[in-house]
Amino acid sequence: MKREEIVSLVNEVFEEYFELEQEELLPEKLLFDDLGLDSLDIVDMIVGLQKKFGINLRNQTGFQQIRSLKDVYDFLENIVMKKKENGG
Amino acid sequence: MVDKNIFCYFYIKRFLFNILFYSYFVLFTLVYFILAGLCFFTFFAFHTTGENRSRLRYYILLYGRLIIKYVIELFIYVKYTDKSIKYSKPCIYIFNHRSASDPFLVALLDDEMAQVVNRWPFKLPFYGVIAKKAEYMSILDLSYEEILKRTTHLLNKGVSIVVFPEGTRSGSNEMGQFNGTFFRIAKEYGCQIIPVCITGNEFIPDRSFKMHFGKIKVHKLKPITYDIYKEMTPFKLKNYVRRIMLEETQKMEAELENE
Repeated sequence: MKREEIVSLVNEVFEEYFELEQEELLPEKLLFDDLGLDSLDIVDMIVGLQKKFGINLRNQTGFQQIRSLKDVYDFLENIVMKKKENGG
Repeated sequence: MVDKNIFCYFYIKRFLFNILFYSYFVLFTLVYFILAGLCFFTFFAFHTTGENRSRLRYYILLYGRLIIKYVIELFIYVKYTDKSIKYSKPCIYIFNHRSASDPFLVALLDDEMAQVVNRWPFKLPFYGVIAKKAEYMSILDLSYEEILKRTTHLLNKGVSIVVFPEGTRSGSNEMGQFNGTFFRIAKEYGCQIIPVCITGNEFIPDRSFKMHFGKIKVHKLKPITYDIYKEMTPFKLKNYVRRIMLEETQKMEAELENE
């Protein structure tokens, strides 16, 4: 899966779950301060990403370091790559 | 030299104002709580816990009202406008949060209420004990499930909930992002949401608790009924309410500037 596809799928989750506009979804936007998510919204976001990517994110480390939308893209890209390397 | 003198004059004036205000505030609080305490223990000590909690909330409401009328309004202009028309109680009141005077200004509403507060008010020697007894909630010490349980319990008893979803005092005319916890609860319970906007008190007192002169406006807005928000996600709902409050506070600030 290419980076652009990952970005597009992540953005779809934000549009579906938080009804944010495409123009608002810029990589540098901070999830809490700029997009207005709170800790409970993060739970919704994880559920949405799990469904969209078909992967289990519960056991993944590194979620605590996520601050911006770009961090989410990087995080997912990393997981998708690892999955591919492991032949998943 | 003239500028220095003017600066000194304002500094001394503000210093004296603070001394006077806080002395009067502390004295008034002590007298009120001694009298209210005597009244409470004389007449209500043998009532059930539920009734006593309700009376305690009434005493807090009365204290807030008296503080506004006989302490704050002696020095500061406070104007309250009720734009809510008709709404059903209990409900969830959503307040913006600029200063430490906000929890007192809550008393302008005519309702039995429990506030959702930060951890530090619970640690105050006097207020903390009363807040606990009156079933106030410390948002940082409770899980979502516990908050939902306690809020449902209070709403079922007819007690409205007062929430400051920004979480902390802004100390300016900025409005922070909203936490969605109580918007989720409103969706689960189906009660009305009443936005209440406060402006002009960002420095009354400031973040270091120094009092300044000024004018405060409080507007209670139209209710947001379940029919309006039932199709919204909690995220959309909190931003919808925030947008309404942002527009209203901007209007109120413009009014304050023109007065």
